[in-house]
Amino acid sequence: MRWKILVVEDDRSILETVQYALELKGHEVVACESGDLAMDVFRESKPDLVILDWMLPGKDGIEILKEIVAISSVPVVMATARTDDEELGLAFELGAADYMKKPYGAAELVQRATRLMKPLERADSDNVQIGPISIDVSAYEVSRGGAKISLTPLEFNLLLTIAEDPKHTFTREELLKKVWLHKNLGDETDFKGKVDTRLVNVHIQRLRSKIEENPDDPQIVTTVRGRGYKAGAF
Amino acid sequence: MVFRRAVERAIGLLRRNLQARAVVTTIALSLIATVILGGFLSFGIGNGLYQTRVQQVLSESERAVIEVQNTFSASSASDEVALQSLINSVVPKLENDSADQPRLVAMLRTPGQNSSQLLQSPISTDLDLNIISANMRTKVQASTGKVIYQSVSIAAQTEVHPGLVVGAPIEIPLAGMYELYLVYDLNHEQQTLDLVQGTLVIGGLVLLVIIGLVSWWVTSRIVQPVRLAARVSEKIAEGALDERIPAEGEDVIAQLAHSFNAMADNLQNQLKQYEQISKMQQRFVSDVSHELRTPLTTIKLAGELIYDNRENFVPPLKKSAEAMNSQIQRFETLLEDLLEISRYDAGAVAGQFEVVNLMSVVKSAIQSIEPLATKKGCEIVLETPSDNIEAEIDSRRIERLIRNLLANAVEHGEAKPIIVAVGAGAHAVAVSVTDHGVGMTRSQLDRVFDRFWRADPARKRTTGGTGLGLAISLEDANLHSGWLQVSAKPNEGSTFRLTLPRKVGSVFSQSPLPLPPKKKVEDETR
Repeated sequence: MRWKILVVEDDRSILETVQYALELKGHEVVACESGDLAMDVFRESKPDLVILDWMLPGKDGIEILKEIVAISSVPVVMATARTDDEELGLAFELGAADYMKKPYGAAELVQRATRLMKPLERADSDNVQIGPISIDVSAYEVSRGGAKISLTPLEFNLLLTIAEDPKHTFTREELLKKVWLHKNLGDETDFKGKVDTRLVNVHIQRLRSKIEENPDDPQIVTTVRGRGYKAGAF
Repeated sequence: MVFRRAVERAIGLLRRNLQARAVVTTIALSLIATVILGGFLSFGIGNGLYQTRVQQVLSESERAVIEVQNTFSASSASDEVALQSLINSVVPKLENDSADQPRLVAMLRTPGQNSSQLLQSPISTDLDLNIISANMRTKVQASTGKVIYQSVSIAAQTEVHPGLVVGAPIEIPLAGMYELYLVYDLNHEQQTLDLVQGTLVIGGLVLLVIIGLVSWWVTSRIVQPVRLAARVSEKIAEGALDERIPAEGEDVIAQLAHSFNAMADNLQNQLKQYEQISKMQQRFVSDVSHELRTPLTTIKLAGELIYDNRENFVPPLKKSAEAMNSQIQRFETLLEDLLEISRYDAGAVAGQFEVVNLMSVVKSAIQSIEPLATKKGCEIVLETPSDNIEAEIDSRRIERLIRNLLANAVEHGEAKPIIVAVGAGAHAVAVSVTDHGVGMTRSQLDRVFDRFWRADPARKRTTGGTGLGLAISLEDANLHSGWLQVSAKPNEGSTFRLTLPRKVGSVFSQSPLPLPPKKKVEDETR
């Protein structure tokens, strides 16, 4: 699968190597060196995925993230060398799909991006039911009582993962490993724990707002206090 | 039981309450002083009263004896009847002759005389002759005119009164030797003494109450500021660094307040300084992290590109690409570990404690190390009493810690099985990782948690450890108020045991797992 990836990065050598690496893996890269130009490039190029550096001269990553999320559902991965929990948490609340901590490798980047770009592949199950929601895995469709619900690949993967094992309570760490493909979380020591789980919380909330009748009283994806998330009992 | 408990409670109060102790001590000492003084006064007054009365009684008695003797000596009575009537007129009259109080009188014939004259002895009706002892009579009989006295107890109706018996020999012409006894009741003096003693006791009690109140008032004036200081220092200890003691006047209490406040100021400034240093340190760590990460990103991306294409290179270039790739990874881990340890040094680590199932943490750690273990030919055996062991821990740090112990065990385990044991007690949980590899000597054990220390510098590191792993693990254990301990023997293997409290802040004194672990009996059929 060939994707068009927009990379916004002010460090030219990083930008160039990311571009070589992604192009060698068969993807098309649109490079942008300046935060101020990023939105124009985004509108013009219509990418499938955005890799956005946090600290940019001029308009910074957070500003660009806000503007992209406001006009499109293209997943945005924040690339960061920062260690500030609060600001990262803010990025997730604003709708970043994931983050990559510098230094990142191209292989990891592509692997993680895959999860944001396309649904999980399942050989054994084709149609999964979770309460009133039915998931057609091969067609990549989710519907409730015949009405189709449009989910991002990330939300789709999140729902499918929970629906496939309805008796299991997924901790946030488990979901990060299974859905976001984060490595061993102990390694991500720059982020003192809060941020990762906030990433999960935010996307669970987004998923609920699309599939639940009343997102404030979730029935399909329920919260297990102090543990994580679980499919509702039907 | 009730009494004993009350005493225990009173002792407890005295131990805790400085003021109560001061007041009780003052009252106790005053009580002793009052008793001594009162006893002294009471004795002095009693003695004085008695001596005065004795002198009075003796002089009265002497006068009476002389009078009686003179009467008999001067009498011209020559027959029994005349003598008897003389005695009867003289002796009973003595009963009312005393100055203020009536006395009892007895006139007894000295036994052992051959005289034929037998006269009736006049004796006062109320007088019990038993109070005149034989000893007294002997003394009187031996006396040459002098009066003899003895103090006695007189039974009067229901009570017993103190009294004095005074006796003297009387010679009656024609009739022989007689003894005249005068008995005085000292009840009046006793009553006076009782009154004085009663007044002394009441006065003493009133004095004690006053002393108690005064000492309570005085000590409360002194203890109150001390109590205030104690309360304020407690608040400061709890973190309210802005608390101060109001200082008034220039006495020693005000001095205490001033110096206490100065101490609190210093403490607060010091803490502020440390906070600033810690913030600067964190800032520095954050900056270093950012500055190093940016070039490392390029290096990593480029390194991966080269590594991915290593098959196209001539052998020396291919080897270089492989070496570079592994060293980039190591550099990255080293950077992470350095940042982590400096965060601990700056005191900037706050655990994310949550109640989780320890078993899932342990299993996850084993799972992540399994590929490495398989590569080295190591089997990992898990021993646990239960599949659900709840504990309030920072699961990321504990997973990292266990993974780190496992990585060490795999590296030094010489492809022999690695035992992971999990234990749970009421207050603590424990995980131990045992390998049967090279082990460690005593001196190596002492240094195993040191930063960048290596058991054998010549030994090749195959798993790319940074030398900070165990130092960070120890910090992680400390963050949980837990223990990370090690036991090892050269060529037999090592055991690392992690013990954590079940709940944040709960105290434990024993680990649920033994260290060193119990030896498994290989042949259990015997």
